[in-house]
Amino acid sequence: MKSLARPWPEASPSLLAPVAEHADLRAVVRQILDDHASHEKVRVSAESPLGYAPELWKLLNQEMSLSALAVPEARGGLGYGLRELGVVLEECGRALVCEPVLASAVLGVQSLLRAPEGVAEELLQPAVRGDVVVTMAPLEPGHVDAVAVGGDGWAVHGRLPRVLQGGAADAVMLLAGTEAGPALFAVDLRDAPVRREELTTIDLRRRQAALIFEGASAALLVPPERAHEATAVLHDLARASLACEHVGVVDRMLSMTLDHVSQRHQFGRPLGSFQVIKHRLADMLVDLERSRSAARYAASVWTDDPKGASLAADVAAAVCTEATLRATADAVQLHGGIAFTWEHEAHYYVRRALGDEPLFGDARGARARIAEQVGV
Amino acid sequence: MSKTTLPDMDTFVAEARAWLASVATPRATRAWGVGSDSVAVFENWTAEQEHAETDRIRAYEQAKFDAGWGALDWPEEHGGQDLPVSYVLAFRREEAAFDVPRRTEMFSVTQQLVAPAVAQWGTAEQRDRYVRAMLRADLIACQLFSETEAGSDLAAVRTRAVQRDDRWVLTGHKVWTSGARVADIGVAVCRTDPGAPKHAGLTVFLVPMDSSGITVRPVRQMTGGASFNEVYLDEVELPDDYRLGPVGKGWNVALTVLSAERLDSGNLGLPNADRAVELARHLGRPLDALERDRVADLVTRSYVQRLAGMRVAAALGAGKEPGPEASVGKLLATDTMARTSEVARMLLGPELTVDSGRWGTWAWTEHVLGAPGYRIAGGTDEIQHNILAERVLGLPKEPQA
Ligand SMILES: Cc1cc2nc3c(=O)[nH]c(=O)nc-3n(C[C@H](O)[C@H](O)[C@H](O)COP(=O)(O)OP(=O)(O)OC[C@H]3O[C@@H](n4cnc5c(N)ncnc54)[C@H](O)[C@@H]3O)c2cc1C
Repeated sequence: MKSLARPWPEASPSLLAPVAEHADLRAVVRQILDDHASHEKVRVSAESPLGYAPELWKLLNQEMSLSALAVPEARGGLGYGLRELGVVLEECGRALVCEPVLASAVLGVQSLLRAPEGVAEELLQPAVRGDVVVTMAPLEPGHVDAVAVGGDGWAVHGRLPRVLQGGAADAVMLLAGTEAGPALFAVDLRDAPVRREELTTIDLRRRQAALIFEGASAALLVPPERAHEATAVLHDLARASLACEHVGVVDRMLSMTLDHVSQRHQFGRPLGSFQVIKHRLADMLVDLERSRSAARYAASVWTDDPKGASLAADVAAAVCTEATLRATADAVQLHGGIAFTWEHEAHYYVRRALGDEPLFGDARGARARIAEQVGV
Repeated sequence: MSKTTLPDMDTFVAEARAWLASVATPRATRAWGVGSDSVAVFENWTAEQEHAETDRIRAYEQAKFDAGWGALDWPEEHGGQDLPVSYVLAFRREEAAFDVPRRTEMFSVTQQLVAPAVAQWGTAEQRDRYVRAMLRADLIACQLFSETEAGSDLAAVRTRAVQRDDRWVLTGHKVWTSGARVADIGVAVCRTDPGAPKHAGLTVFLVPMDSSGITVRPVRQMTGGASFNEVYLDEVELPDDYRLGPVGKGWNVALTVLSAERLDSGNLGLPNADRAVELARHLGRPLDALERDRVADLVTRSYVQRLAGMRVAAALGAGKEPGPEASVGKLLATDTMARTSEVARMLLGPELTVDSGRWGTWAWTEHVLGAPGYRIAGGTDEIQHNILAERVLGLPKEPQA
């Protein structure tokens, strides 16, 4: 790999300018989530058999065309990008919703879009409308093999150990080995010979399932010769998207903790008047601003140049993963005993931080890739 | 106040780059292992060197000003171009890629902190006398703020200014005054009303550093050199037109100077962070996993510090007040500096502790020993935390004595 002489953000600062449209979008999503995704409501949805609320998922797709947001107009979408989707993801992280926004509206839809027009269109169109849930398995080789079965048909065999929303998804995008190397496929899970094993997860609001294929038919999205590049682009997408969610988590931890230390008194004064508490919150603010800068930049760069976003996405992943772990841990500490109860919402965020850490590679992994890119 | 028709940004940047290329070489093309290996945070200069280096930087600043690239966001009356601050940041971005004389802090103190305070608080005559001259670096200013008993708690200063006939007489002892040896003007925070509450009894003066009664004594600092000084004011007499701002408003004037530091600490520490990454690339041995991790961590920190600067620039460019991303700037900078030290120590090992004469090794002692100074100067890390907690997060204020 050619190493970057200057490991600097190279895009123009205007990319990070505040955009009125984004503020409007944020206000709309926040309103919807305030109305329909209170902690109690989300808890109930997360514990339901499906693991999320189909009504809210429908609402998000109907009211704001969530799954169509970052899809080109030519493919039936609204023609925005990850920049805008990032705003939605921040809000979803903040409210910690359990709907398949990351899995379907981001990863599933964008992996389908890696295919040339006309391929798997019967999945893309309903996915863009939010009528079906599509997901992307971790793009690691070695789990699944694909064999050609005549015409342009393929059949897949193997076991995917952890697939986001694998239990509820109607289709999954996956990397499967072929004679010519790994390639990207779509498997329609409806009526296919697939076994699903719902998994018990540390994150109570993001379901995962194992999927076992015994000859399910698959559509080739990206052939082996282009799969490497497509995989890299999708990895960067995954990291940048998760980083956006994390901005919302850190933001929520800060505001929740700020409220708490302002209201609760000990020793006759608000907790927030103790300097050690003030400084911990100032550190959380620094973490939040670092995360915001990194995640928004990565989302913007991926929008404009998906093949040139690796460094930005890895920086965002490294920064936001660690910020989320710190902010959730500090939020618990600064709330005291109440935050250690099952009833309190803090542990859902702690669990999200823990579950997300290895999801698309941890901070150390991100830094290892950064080291490679800068040539050290 | 800015021009109604602005130059096209791409053209502006291209012209800036062309001008910079006519006076300097691009930084990235500088070969490793040749030229200066200095990564000093505070220079270890003798008085003669400090004067010579200041003159060298001044010459560049003057050329920049005369070519129309200095004072970009200042009104024409002060020799500026009347452009929005986004153009300043765009120019700095370009400038950072060139090997121009590295400005000592005295230049940013003069041009970014003191000149705006004079423009805001000065009389018409003071503005004429000082602002353009400071922007062009014809005059260098230093901050006569801190005293032994007044550091973070600046409003506790004891240096007295008393009115005698039509003159002020200043007496006191200032410490940690950076650049006092080369400065022409000292911005002195003095107590004019010992009876008033401590923030209300202060007044600021612009003290010519060659006034009789002033003694400057270099203070040797932990890097070994002396970039700061103690300054004795012994019955220094000044006419009233050396007073900056109203009597009793010294606290507000001082705050104007201090808060201007916000935008300015943005790039602090980045050149040395880049150099540490270069060091890792040129070490002549493969890095182990932990070393690579720490170098990459430093890259993430300098990258994000740059992004924070870009966000501030973008907000200003869009005519908006920047948000908290501007207030965290100094902490990001001191963090980058501390991580740079960590990487240098890790990569160099014993070469950092014993001068082998090898290029680019021992030189890092100046970073490692200098970086702690920035966590103290210009509002300590702890004071920055207080500011974030109180002004951005709205938490209760610290008790005031
Ligand atoms: C390299 C360098 C250059 C300098 N240049 C100049 C200059 O040009 N002009 C000038 O006037 N001054 C200058 N200073 C002085 C600098 O502004 C002061 O050193 C600084 O404001 C701290 O004051 P202090 O040294 O008295 O430390 P103190 O204020 O005594 O602080 C000591 C420790 O206590 C902490 N502390 C103090 N108050 C609080 C609080 N309320 N809450 C929590 N912690 C607190 C501090 O963070 C610090 O860790 C310079 C200092 C350095 C190191």
